[in-house]
Amino acid sequence: MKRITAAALSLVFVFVACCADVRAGDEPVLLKVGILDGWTGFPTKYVVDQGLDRANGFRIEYMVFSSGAPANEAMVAGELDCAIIGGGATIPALANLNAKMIYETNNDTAGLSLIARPELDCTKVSGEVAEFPKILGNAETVRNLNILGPNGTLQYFCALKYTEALGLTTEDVNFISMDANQAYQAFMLGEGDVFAATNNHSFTLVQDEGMVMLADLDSLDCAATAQVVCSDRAFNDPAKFKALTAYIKVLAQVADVMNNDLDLATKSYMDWISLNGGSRPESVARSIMATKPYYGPKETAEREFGKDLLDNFVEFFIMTEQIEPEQRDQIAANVRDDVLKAAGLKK
Amino acid sequence: MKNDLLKKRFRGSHLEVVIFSIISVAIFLCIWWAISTGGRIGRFFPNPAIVIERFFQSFVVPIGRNTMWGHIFFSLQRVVIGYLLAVAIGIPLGLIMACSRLGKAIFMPLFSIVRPIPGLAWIPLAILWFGVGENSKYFLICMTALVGITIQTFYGALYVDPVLLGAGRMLGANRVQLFVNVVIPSAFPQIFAGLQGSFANAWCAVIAAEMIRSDEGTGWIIFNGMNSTNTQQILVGMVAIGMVGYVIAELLKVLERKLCAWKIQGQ
Repeated sequence: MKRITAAALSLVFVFVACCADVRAGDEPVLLKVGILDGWTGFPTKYVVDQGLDRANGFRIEYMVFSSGAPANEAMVAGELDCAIIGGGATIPALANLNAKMIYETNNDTAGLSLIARPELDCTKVSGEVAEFPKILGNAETVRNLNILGPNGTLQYFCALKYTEALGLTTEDVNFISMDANQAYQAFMLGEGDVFAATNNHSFTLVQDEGMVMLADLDSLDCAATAQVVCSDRAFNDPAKFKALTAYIKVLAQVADVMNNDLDLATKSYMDWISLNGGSRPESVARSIMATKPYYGPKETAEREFGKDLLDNFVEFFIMTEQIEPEQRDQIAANVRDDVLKAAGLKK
Repeated sequence: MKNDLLKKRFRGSHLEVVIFSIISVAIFLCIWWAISTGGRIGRFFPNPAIVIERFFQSFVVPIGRNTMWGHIFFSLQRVVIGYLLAVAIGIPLGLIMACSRLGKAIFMPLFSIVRPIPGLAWIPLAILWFGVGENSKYFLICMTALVGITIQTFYGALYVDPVLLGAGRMLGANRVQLFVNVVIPSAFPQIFAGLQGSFANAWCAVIAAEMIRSDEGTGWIIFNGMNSTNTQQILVGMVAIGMVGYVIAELLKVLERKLCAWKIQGQ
């Protein structure tokens, strides 16, 4: 009798285990995604709102961050599988967290700029640097100017490239380091001559305040990108890898949707900003959307994956002692096109 | 006689208190108004009428994903959970340190090291240990409230009137009876003072806690306003924190009058 009972119980356990397995197999794989409260974040919300995640066999749970650094911390804590972050957070993630960069979502260059007061002499000098004809100013008019902005960031990188382009060093100008928002307020209250801005402020300053853009990363022949960075754990988990592949594929399709419909992109962006407690005038939102194209399947196939990040920012991070020189190789090794290939976006 | 005169002079009539309170608030608002309307600073510093209007409006019109009701609810929820954790740890810890030499020897050095560390300093460790979800927020609030609760409990239990203890012993009470019937009731007013002060600290710590990733809360309103250079939103968040803090403080005073009535009457 005992044997029969044991056998019956075993059968019941096997049946329950099989049922549980089938249910787990039916449940779409959960992808925990970190997104920022700016222009890079809302395409993922669009994916969720349209049900494109479930339609493609995975499920997204997103968390909103105001910058990339806390998203990296959340990845370390295992609360995120991947995040869409800018270059400033991507380099430390690849160097220190062994995270993997798997997809470039959009051109992030526009708006990273140096904004000057219109009365300054440097705003009246143009075309003096043959190599960078679009930038304003020359060595004489820029020397000793006070530039406000956060040290060690892409804004600082922009200031550095600009002074280099004019044949100056950062010693020839006074770079006053402060948080971007504090720097903006100080600049608006009359402090400093030049503000090293992100697009949070640069479009408004030029369009509404009559300030003058001396240079941006584009005019300095540098490009910045925002990218999907995933944790090493997610990258090496076959189920998560599959979900990441599907996510990237869907994001590339949404990129085309946004690029082809500026009205939809502008509205989605403004709604996203508003949902996260901010606001943007429509003209500014439209400018941002028009100058920050997303990378769809075609652009992704044509682009040299990771080149902008590796060429422009790794040395900058080493120079500013944010990473060690020996981490250079690890960063390059963590720029991985495996997901792009699996998604059919790269050959 | 002298005492009565002094009390009279400083207490004033109820009407005087109300009048002077209104005057002080009015002067404060006038100064605010003057600063906000003069010069370039006014651009980033909205006048009180705008802030107060937006504050009341926020109970109907959402800031981000929630109206002010929602933000206050989320913040209060975090504070209450973190605070209850601090109470559950702090009161026993304070009592152990006060009533047991061994307990004091074990816990006091650790507590003395942790005590001066401000709540903000725990943020990186909180994220590392508990991630960016709710647990790290509870932890930060708990750490902020814990110090005050433990200290007040410790001193409250340590300085119990020796006459009361002697009387208890003389009446034949054992150690447990002394602890339950003499030490705890005698220390309760000071423990309650610790609970009151710590709740205020915990409520202030919600700003730091919500600096760790969040989508809602009064601290989030301020932090989000900072990120988007929206001083109006920052001030609305500050008003919300101030108002809720004030209401909580008043409620705790009422509670104190009920729970420690015997002590207040004795004074």
